[in-house]
Amino acid sequence: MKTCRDYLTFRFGVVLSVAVLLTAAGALCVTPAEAQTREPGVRSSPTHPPFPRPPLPGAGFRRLSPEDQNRAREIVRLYLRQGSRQPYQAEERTRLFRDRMIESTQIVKHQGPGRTRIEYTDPPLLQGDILLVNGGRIFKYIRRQNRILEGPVPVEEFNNRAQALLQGVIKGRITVRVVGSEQIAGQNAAIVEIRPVRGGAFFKRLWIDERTGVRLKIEDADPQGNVISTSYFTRIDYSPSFLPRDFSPASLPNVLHEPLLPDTPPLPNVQAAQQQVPYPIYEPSLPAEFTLTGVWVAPPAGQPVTILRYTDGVITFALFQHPVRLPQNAPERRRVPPARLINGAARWISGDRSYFLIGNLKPETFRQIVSSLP
Amino acid sequence: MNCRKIEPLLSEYLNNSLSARETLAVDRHLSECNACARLLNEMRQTVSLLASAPRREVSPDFMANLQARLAQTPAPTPRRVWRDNLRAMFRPRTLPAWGMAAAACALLLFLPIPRHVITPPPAPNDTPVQTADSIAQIAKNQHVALTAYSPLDDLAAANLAASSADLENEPAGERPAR
Repeated sequence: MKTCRDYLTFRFGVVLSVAVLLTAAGALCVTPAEAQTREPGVRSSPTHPPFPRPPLPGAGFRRLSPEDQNRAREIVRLYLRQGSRQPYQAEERTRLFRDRMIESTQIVKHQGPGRTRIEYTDPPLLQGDILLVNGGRIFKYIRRQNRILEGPVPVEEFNNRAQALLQGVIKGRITVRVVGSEQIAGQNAAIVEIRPVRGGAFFKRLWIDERTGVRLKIEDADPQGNVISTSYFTRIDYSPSFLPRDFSPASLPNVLHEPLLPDTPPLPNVQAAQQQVPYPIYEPSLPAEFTLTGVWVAPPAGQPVTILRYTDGVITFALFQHPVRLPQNAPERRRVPPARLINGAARWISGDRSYFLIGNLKPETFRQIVSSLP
Repeated sequence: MNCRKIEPLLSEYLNNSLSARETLAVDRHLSECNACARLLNEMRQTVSLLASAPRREVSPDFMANLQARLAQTPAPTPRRVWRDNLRAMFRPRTLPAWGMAAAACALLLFLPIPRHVITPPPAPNDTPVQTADSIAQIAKNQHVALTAYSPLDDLAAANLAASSADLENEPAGERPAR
């Protein structure tokens, strides 16, 4: 009996010591950063064959005369001044051309300047989502999360951008030209190409209804002319009958509203933002054609994030930055910034700072930004 | 034989209940050891004293009453079994196992511990990396709101891009038809 007890005690001691050693080895081998990357339930993105991107219809168009350029300016003016006032209800399809195409279908209701409602009908993941712009505010209802994100969209800011665009066209910083015409949703549309003279080489094409000035289609293209994204109407009704509640936030589900951006107007410069954050704001080095259009300090989760938004007159990009605590032995891939933007976005960590950039930029411009930030 | 072995045998030696071999051994020891001989004499005197003492008669039911009273006596305080087991765990035979465990613990104490194992308390302006992931998603939604500022930006495309991570991960059956 005693021998048996002694044997069991001996085994208990051995098992205890082995357990202690294994626990210690596990704690030393699994770093916190690795543990953070093991997110349960998150699937890795599947790989897909490259999706062929359609070329722009104006790729081989003839060179246009000054008269055509004047006509293009008039159409842009029509779009900016009259098109936003035209009420309509349309079905719109949006496509993003990435590794594989992503598509959505939505109903767009537009009642006038700053009054737009977008109701998603497809894909199923977005079905029921609503974007509502009204009264100088934007509401994004996400059905699957049952929450509403809310932020300011001052009408005067929209008008200022429209005015800046017209000024850029008049002063020759932005070139516009009509590159063709096409029927979109049963309406005759002039295809207007808008490029910054000395910009980031990405450009846009707008299909403007020559009668109403409504934008029927928009395409974003890379410097090679490949379409990155497009949205176009498949049908449109210029005599819609809206319900009084259609443009009211009260029409949205009664769920908690979460702030997206501060209600104050965008800050005019980095110095003004610097007074609101406890960390130094880093400004990137940019080609001369890019200018700062606004600075925001957003406080999601109590952490102030600084947003710098730049434009070359046509395309815009936003740089988000905030301090981050990264373990010393975190995987190196988190510290190495990507060489280029992937699907119009990139996130990287440098020093004590986390950066997130959204927009379309040439690889060399993006590298210049990354290398200029500490 | 020495004194420690002889002393327990003296009582039986007096009663002549030892074996011949043990009796011989005790005799041989007593002839050489005065202390044990003196102890034997004292035992003999005690036995003779008790034998000469007057005897008292007890009642016939004395033994029955004694057993009954003993049965009614409360049980003694239970022995501290855990203490005995604890002693048993640290018997000399088990010491090597405990030594191994102690050595392993000591080894851990003296191992150089990487800095990341001891996570410092977060500074007020720092954001953990996992929080930064959610901030990236918030940034995408903020970008959607900022897109609404510009007449040249595609609000629907920006919103679709903000949801693209979820859409790219959705099962094949839910993908839109090309």
